[in-house]
Amino acid sequence: MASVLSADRFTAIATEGLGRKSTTTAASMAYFRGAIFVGTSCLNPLARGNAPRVLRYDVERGAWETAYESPLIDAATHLQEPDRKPGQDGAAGPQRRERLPAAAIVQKAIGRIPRDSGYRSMCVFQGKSDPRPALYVSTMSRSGAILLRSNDGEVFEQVSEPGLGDPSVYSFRALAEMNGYLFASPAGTVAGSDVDRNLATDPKVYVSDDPRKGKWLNAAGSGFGNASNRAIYSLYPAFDRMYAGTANPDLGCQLWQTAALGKPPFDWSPVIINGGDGFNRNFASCAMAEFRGALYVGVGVTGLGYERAHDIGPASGELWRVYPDGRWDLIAGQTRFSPYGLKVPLSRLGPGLGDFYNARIQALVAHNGVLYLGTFQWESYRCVEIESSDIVGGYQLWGSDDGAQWTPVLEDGNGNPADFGIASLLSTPHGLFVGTSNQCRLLSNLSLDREAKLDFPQGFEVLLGR
Amino acid sequence: MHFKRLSWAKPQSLKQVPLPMPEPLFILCPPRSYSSLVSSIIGEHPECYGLPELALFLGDTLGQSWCAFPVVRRALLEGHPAIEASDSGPALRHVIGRDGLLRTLAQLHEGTQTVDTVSRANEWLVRHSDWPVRKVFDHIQELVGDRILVEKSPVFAREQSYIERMLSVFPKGRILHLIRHPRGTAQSFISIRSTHGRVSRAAGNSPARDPERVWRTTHEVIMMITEDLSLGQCMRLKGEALLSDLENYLPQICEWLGIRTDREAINAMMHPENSPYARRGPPSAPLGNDPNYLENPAIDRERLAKLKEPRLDGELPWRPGETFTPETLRLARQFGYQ
Repeated sequence: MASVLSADRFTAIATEGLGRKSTTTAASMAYFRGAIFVGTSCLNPLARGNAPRVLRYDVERGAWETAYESPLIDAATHLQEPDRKPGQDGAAGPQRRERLPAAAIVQKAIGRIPRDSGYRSMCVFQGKSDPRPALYVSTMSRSGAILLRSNDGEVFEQVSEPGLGDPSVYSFRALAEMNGYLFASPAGTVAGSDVDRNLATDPKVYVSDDPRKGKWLNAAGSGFGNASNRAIYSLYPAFDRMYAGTANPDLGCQLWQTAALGKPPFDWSPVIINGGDGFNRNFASCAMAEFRGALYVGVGVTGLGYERAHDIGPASGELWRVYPDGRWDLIAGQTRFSPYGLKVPLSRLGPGLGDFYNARIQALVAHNGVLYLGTFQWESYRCVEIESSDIVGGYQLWGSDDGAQWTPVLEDGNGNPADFGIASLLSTPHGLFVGTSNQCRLLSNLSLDREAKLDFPQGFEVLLGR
Repeated sequence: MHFKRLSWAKPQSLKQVPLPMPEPLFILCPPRSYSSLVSSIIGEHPECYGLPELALFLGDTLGQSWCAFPVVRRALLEGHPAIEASDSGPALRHVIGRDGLLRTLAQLHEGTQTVDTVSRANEWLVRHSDWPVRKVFDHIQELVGDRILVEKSPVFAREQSYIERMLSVFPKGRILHLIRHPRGTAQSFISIRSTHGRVSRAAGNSPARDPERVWRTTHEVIMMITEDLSLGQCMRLKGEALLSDLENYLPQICEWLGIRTDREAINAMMHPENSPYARRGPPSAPLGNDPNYLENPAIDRERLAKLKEPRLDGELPWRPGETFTPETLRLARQFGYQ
């Protein structure tokens, strides 16, 4: 029986954003041509010094290199605006406090700013005109998400129009390969000076058998025909099917599947609806992984456990196990009656794996016979908000060798309460890589009035467990 | 970090978990939430015993509960149907508790509900007015035997202290949080008020009596108090879902309670009219349940199969020109209503 890695088997191989503390998140990872690629992100990059990068890690040498860095573009007014949710009416709940300099001042001071805010998804894929598997990367850009392609991990080229022709698309949250197709789902909306980083104006799934040529088709109708599906958050191939998980503020997330046969658009069918009858507290399907003949799905609420735009939460995440025939088990979450039968958490862990502040399970990966999950845990935000003298909390990494019984591996942000989330997990022959999301700036802004200033490490980390 | 693991049952095979004593099942909800029917359905399971509304837990003792009824009166005026059978004045104080509890004791003490047996039950209550409510429950449990008591008294959910007392008396008691669409609940309120003009006049136009507000505040109280209970101790269920698909949901309820799920047991649950409390009682204690249910306690399969959830959007008939408040919409969507 495989064994779960213990905490002492993990080493930090990148800390404090690798020299750029403003790059807060290791948003995506891929294993390509024997190296580890990490796509980083920065909330609002305003200078070259905090431009997000695609980093390459040579495991043998233990060395990091910059494989790609956001180009600089002329600062435009709308690029300087803090995030605002389209349609938001100032609802209560945790609020992000951003203090950005006025656009005119920024432009005068720096002139040019990074085009991209980060690199949200990666996939190794060989399209029709790719001589060999290539690395595809989606940007997060206020001028419209772009797909990048690299043949060798050294040189990256742009292979799409912004937003595949719709510059209001902020990013492609998921990239996944199946049956010779690359699937992509848009996430986030740029609307004038407003940016929503998660929800899409047109929540489609796109597909291409030759992304190098920029040829994309619709793989599914908008929101799978349901107007309340506001984004496709996750895509994952399993059992010769492509699974897609949605974000749905009205009814709760949905899980859809297609065999992707014939020409696109494909026939899709629902597997789970209404957030598995947890309704909109299971707002979004955030992560998936195949393990021991089943698909594991991590769900929850975006933001700090509270979805501001739709006034949902605070709520805690759940973990589901879906079988190829559509049956599913609740692994961790709220015991409930449902049209699918009585759902009792097989792990004996409730919502948030028994921790209220685990807002979502946002990363899942199978590695050496063990399934690992990473959470987004915002307790330290709450500690600062209520002016607690102790600041505790931070992401958790859990492991399970059977998918039902789970053991905490890393807790409390591995010692840094400002590390709220595990944004990416990657299994490689060299070990398990863990990419984190750091919210030190958020905590600092929230605690401006505190006597004792917060002094937590800033910037993303990457851990290697082996 | 606060990892909280389930401790109440083994996963999947709940029936294999022996319960040392049958903990009661309490159904919590606002008035007009199908609770009479649902309680009677569950109560007809061979391993359960469905009670009418006992309205205990309004005080620490039986006597205190009686004295608390004036507090209850306000809740009754918000639409409780039992008011129908009462006169104004002091008699109103006794309506709910008297009927349900008197009928229960008459039935369990003497096997029948008549004016005479109810009278003797009343004497018993007077003699034992100093009993703690737990002792009253234990007495009933002893008479019922090794079956799960199923109790529903919507009045509990009106006051946080009532539910807190209930949980202090039965910290491991199971709770079914029963939900009905706010529009359906409110329309039922309006209907019962229009049927009973005195209720309508008494309710007046006070915002506190608004059916939408009663719906929201009652559910908020239930959710707040049950939030930290052991996982699985409190389960939420939409009445519309249950009643329109009994074959699917009744076995789930049985599995949750750890009782039989076989065909014979489920069939028994399909006949709430077999309850000794499913019809009007003697003139001295006629009610104890929703009068509509008492008039027609059998399951109308055809009608229930057509049960649809109304919409959240649109004008409220009882507040022309207005729609549900954002707070109500938020809570209703959390429950899965659209």
